Amino acid sequence: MKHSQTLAATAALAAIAFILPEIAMASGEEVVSILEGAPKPSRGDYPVIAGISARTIAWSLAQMHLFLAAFVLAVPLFAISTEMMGVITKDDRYDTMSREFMKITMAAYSLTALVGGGLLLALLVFYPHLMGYMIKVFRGQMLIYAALFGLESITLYIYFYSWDALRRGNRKWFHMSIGLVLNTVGLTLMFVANAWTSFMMSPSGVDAAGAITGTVWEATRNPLWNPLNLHRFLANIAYGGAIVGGYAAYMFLAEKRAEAKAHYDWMGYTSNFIAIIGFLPLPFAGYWLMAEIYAYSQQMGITAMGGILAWLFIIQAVLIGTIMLAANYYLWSGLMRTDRGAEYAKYVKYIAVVIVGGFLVWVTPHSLVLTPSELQVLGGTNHKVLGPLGIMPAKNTAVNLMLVMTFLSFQMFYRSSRVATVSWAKQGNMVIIALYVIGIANIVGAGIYGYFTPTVYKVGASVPQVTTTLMIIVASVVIDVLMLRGAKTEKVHWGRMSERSQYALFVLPVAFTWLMGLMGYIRSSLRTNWHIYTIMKDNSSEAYIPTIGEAGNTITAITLGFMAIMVFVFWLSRLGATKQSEPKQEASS
Amino acid sequence: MTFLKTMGFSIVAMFLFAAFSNILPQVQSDAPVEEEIPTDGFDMAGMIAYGERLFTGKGTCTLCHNDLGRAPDLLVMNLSTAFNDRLADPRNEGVSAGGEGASDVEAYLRESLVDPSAYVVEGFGKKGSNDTISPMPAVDAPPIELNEVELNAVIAFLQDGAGWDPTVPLPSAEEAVIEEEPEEVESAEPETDPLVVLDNVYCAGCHDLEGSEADVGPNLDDIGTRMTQGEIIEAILYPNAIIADGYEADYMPEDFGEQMHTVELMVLVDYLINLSN
Amino acid sequence: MLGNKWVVFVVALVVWAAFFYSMDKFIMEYQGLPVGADMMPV
Ligand code: HEC
Ligand code: HEC
Repeated sequence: MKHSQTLAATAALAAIAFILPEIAMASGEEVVSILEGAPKPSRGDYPVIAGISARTIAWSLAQMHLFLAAFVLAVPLFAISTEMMGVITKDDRYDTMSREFMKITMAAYSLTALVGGGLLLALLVFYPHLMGYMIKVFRGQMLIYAALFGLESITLYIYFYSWDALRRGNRKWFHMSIGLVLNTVGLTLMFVANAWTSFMMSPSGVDAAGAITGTVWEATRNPLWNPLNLHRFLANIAYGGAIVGGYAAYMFLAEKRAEAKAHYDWMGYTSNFIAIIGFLPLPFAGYWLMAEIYAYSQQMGITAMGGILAWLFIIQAVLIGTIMLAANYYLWSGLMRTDRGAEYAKYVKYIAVVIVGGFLVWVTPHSLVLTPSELQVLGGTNHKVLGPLGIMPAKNTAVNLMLVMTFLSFQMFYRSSRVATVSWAKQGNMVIIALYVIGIANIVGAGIYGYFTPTVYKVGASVPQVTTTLMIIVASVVIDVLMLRGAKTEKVHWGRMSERSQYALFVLPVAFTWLMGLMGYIRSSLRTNWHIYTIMKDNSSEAYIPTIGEAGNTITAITLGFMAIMVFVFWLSRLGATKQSEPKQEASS
Repeated sequence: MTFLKTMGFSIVAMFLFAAFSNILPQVQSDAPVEEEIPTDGFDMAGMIAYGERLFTGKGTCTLCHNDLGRAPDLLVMNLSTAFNDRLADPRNEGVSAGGEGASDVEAYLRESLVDPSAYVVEGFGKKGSNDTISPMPAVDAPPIELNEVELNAVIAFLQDGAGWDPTVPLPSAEEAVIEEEPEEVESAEPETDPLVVLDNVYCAGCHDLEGSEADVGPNLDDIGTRMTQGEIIEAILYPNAIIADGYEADYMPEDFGEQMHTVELMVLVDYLINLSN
Repeated sequence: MLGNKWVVFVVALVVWAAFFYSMDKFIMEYQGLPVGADMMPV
C-alpha cells in the first residue's frame, strides 16, 4: 500500500512537472515589446485556391477535430472513474468496461491528431496573417502544446497497453496513476486550445490595435477562458458518454448471446448515466458563459441572444429537448429490467407530461430583432398568445423542471432494484416526496415572481431556481444513501431491455454531435466579421454570417462525416478482436 | 441489418434537424462593405437622414436603444427634455463644476458616443458599478467604428429628433469616404417591397424623396412626370450618361446596378413612377 | 408521533418550505435584491 502511494505521488509530481514549464512560461516576465498591431490583410491577401471555400474547409476540419478531441479527452476521464469504481466495489465488470472504453478511444486518437494536423495546415494556408499573428501572441505556448500532445500520446498508449499487465493489487494503483497523468495532460491540452479560441472572442494582453502588451499568461487568461473551459469540460463528458452509449446500443442490438447482451446493456446504462451527469450542470455552465459574454461586451451578448443568432437558440432548445426526452425514455424503459420496476412505471406518464410541457415552453420564441417582413408576419416583436411563455422566467422554470424530472427518472430506476430495510423507510420516503413538492413549488414560484418583476429581479430570481434544482438532487441523494444502507438488492436483469430503447441511445450521440456543431457555429459567429474581435478584421469574401439553413446543412454534413469516422473506429476496434478460424486440415485421401 | 437500421435511424434524425434549421427565417448577416459614397455633397437634411440610417444600421444602436429597457429608448422618449436634464444634472461635471465635460447638447451627445462612461444615465450603468460604467461601447472604436462624418450624422439625427437644428459641421471633401453599413440581406431572395429597397439603396440622402428634403440631386417625388420608365432606369444605372440641368456630374454613385437585383430595380422604378401619380 | 408517515409528511413540507424560503431570501439579498419587489408585469 505504501509503495503504491509513493508511485501515485511520483506520477502526480511528474504530471505537474510537465505542466510547470507552461505556467512558468506563461506567467514569466516575458513582456515582449512587439509594438506593431495586428495585421490588416485586405481581401486580395487571402489566398484563393481553386475557388474552394476556405471557411467551409476550416470550419469542417475544426469542428471535426473538436468532435474527435472531445471524445478522446472525455473517455479517459470516465474510464479512470469507472476503473476506480472497479477497485472500490471489487466488481470486475467495471474494469472490463473501462478497458473497452479505452479500446474505442485508441483508434480515434490517431484520427484526432490527423484531423488536427489537417486543420492547422488549412489555417496556415488559407489564413496566414491570422495564424502569424496568433503565433506572435501565444509564442512558445504553441510549442508546448505540441510537446503536450506528444506526452498525451505516450501516456495514452501506456495507459491502454499496460492495462492487463498492471491489473491487480498494487500495480493497479500504478496504472491508475498513469491514467491520472493522462487526464491531466489531456485537460491541459484542452485548456490551452481554449485559450486561443477565447482570445479570438475576448482578446486580452494586447492593446486596441492588437500590439502585444502583456505576457502569454495574460492573453491566455482572457475574460472568456474559464467559462469556456468549464463549459467544454462538462460538455465533453456528456458527449463522450453519449457516444460510448451509442456504441453499446449498437453492440446490444448486434449481439445474439444473452451474456454479451447483458454486458452491453449495462455498458449502455452506465454511459447514459455518465452523459446525464455531465449534462445536468451544463445549462448552468452555459448560463455563466453567456453572463460573462454580456459582461465582456453587451454588444456581443445581444448579438447572440437578441440578434439574428437568436433563432439558433430555438434549434438548441429543440436539440436539448430531444436529448432530454431520449434520455428519460431510456431510463423509463430501464424499469423493465427489475421486477419491481412496474411499481414505478405508473408515474412515468406524469414525468412525461412535465418534460414535454417544459420542452414546449422552451422552444417558444420570444422577442427577437426581426427583419421588417418577419415583423409583419408576427405583428410585433412578441407573439400575442405565446409571448409570456417566451420570456426568460418561463424558460428557466421549464429547464429546471425538466432537469428535476430527469433526475427523478433516474432515481426511480435506482430504487426499483433496492428495498430499503431501515426502520424509517416510510418516513424517509415522505421526506423525499415533500422535498420534491416544495422544491418544485419553489421553482415555479420563483418563475412567477420573476415574471412579474423588473429585469434585474428576473435575472436574480433564476439563481434560487438553479440552487433549488441542485438542492433537490443533493438532498435526495443524501437521504437515499442513508436510507438504502444495507438495503435488500434485487436482481437487475441486465439485457432485459427493449430494442426500441436502444434507439433512444442513438438519438443521444446524434443530437449531441449536431448540437455541438451548432454551438460551435454560434460561438464563432459572435465575432461577426472579426477574426479577433475588435482587433483583427476578417476581410475575406466569406466574412458574413451564413443563414441558419446553410449552417444547418454544413453541420449535418460534418456530423455525417463524423459518424462515418466513428463507424470506422468502432469497426477497427472490433477487427482487432476478431480471429480468423484456423483453416480446416485438408482431408488427405 | 442492424447496421443499416441504426445508421438509417441516425441519418433520419440528422436530416430532421437540418430540415428544421431550413424552415426557420433565413437571414444572412453581411460584413460591412467598404464602399465609397461621396458625402461631401450632403446638406443637413441629408446628414439627418444618413444619421437615422446609421442609427438602425451600421451603428447597431437599436440593438440596445429599443423598448426592451436595455438603454434609453432614444427613438421614443422626449429627447429635448432628456438632454437638457442631463446637462443640468450635477453629476454632469461639464455644467456644474465647469469641468471639461459636456456643456452643450452637441458636446453631450458626442461624449455619450465616444466616451459613454463619462456620464451614465441613472439606472443604466453596468450592474454593480453604481452608474459609473456604461454598458455602451464607444462607437468610434471597434467593433462599431463610426468615423467622424458618421458620428456627426448620428448627432445631427438625434438633435433633429429633439426638435433642434443640428449644429454639427457638414462633411468636407477629405472626409468623404465612408463605410457602408452591414446589411442583413434576405438570402438570395430579392426584395419586392419598394420601401425596403429604397431603404437599402438610400436615394433619399441626395434626392428630395418623401420629405427628406435633400437637394444634392433633383427632386424625385415628381420624377414620374418628367421621365419615362426607361429613362429613369438609365439615369440610375448610368447616372453620368445624361446630367440633369443645374446639377453636377459624378455625385450619383455608378454602382446601383450591382447593389440591386433586377427585380428590385424594377420595383423601385415602378414605385417612383407611381409616386407622382 | 413521528411514526405516522403523514405526520412526517406534513412536518417535512413545513421544514422544507422554511428551508427553501430562507435559501431564496438569502440568495436574493446576497445579490442585493430585496425579496418582495413590486410585482407588476413588465
Ligand atoms: C450595447 C448596447 C448599446 C449600443 C450598441 C448603443 N448604446 Fe447608447 N447607450 C446604451 C446604454 C446602456 C446607455 C445608458 C447609459 C449611458 O448613459 O451611457 C446609452 C446611452 C446613450 C446616449 C445618452 C442617452 C441619454 O438619455 O442621455 C446616447 C445619446 C446614445 N446612447 C447613443 C447611441 C448611439 C447613437 C448608438 C449607435 C451608434 C448607441 N448609443 C449604441 C447602450 C448602447
Ligand atoms: C450621392 C448622391 C446621390 C444618390 C445616393 C443618388 N443620386 Fe440620383 N442623382 C444625384 C445627382 C447629383 C443627380 C444629378 C446629376 C445626374 O443626373 O447625374 C442625380 C440624378 C438622378 C436622376 C435623374 C434626374 C433628372 O431629373 O434627370 C434620377 C432618376 C436619379 N438620380 C435617381 C436616383 C435613384 C433612384 C437613387 C437611389 C437608387 C439615386 N438617384 C441615388 C445624386 C445621387
